[in-house]
Amino acid sequence: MKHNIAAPDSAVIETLITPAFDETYVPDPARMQAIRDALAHAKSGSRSHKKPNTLPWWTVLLVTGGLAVAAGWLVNEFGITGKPEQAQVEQPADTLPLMPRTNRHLDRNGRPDRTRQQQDPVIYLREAD
Amino acid sequence: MTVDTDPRTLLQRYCEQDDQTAFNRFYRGQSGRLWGFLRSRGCHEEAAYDLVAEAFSRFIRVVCKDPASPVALLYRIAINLHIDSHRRDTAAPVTVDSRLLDSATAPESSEYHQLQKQLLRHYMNQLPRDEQNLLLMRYWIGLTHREIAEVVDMPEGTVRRQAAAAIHKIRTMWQADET
Repeated sequence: MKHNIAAPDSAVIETLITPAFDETYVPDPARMQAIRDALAHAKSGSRSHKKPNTLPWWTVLLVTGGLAVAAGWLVNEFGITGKPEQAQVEQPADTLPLMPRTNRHLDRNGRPDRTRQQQDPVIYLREAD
Repeated sequence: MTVDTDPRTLLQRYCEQDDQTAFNRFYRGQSGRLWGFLRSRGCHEEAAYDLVAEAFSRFIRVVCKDPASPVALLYRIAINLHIDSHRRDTAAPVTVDSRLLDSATAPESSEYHQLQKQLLRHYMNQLPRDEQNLLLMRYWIGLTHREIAEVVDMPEGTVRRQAAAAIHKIRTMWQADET
């Protein structure tokens, strides 16, 4: 495309860019304002729903309850009470009190009641007598 | 009382004090040019409005994390959106008024200035898309070389050299058509 407009120098070209494009593309102010209003509405809408840095009450309740249950289980399972554990000394067998022989099936005279003994499922007691 | 129009200051007030008036000023200062920028990049009119809305919507969500270069951030978002949605668009051809070509002879006349601007847009349109974007961001939007480097993810020195080279190309094309 031939023309008789002298080529401007670089500095003039740089300054011409702004008016060349500003005058060519002019938006509708009402449309731009509508976009701004929609942005403000969207932002306020999202704010009412979002509460940053706060946990819902049921989450706190759930976590606390879970911790309490876990602590209770640990205490029951491992005896973790916080008190020093006392050593249990096993008694020697000869110091244990002698188990009395069975006297569950005695008759009125204090003798073994054979009939009842035979109905008893514990055989060795019967035979021991 | 002076009204602050520096985009960075306005966005700082918006982010730190939730100053909606500051954001409105920022929006009024940037939205029209952003729309024009997208139109000049080949975006259709309605699509340009949609992209402005989407770009600002995303901008609001992220700007307060780093409000150091808000305009650069806005254009980075808009350019990426435009690339994603209008990959096949090309910049609309620039027509030069033939009547002006015949009549504009006096260098101080309004026709002459009008023709200068039309020719400039015509020659800019001949440049590769990246160089067009670079010149528009530098001399129309007013971003610094450093901010453009952030937008296009290139070293600042490369941006500076490419901008100078693009201006030189325009001059060369212009001179080649001079009678």
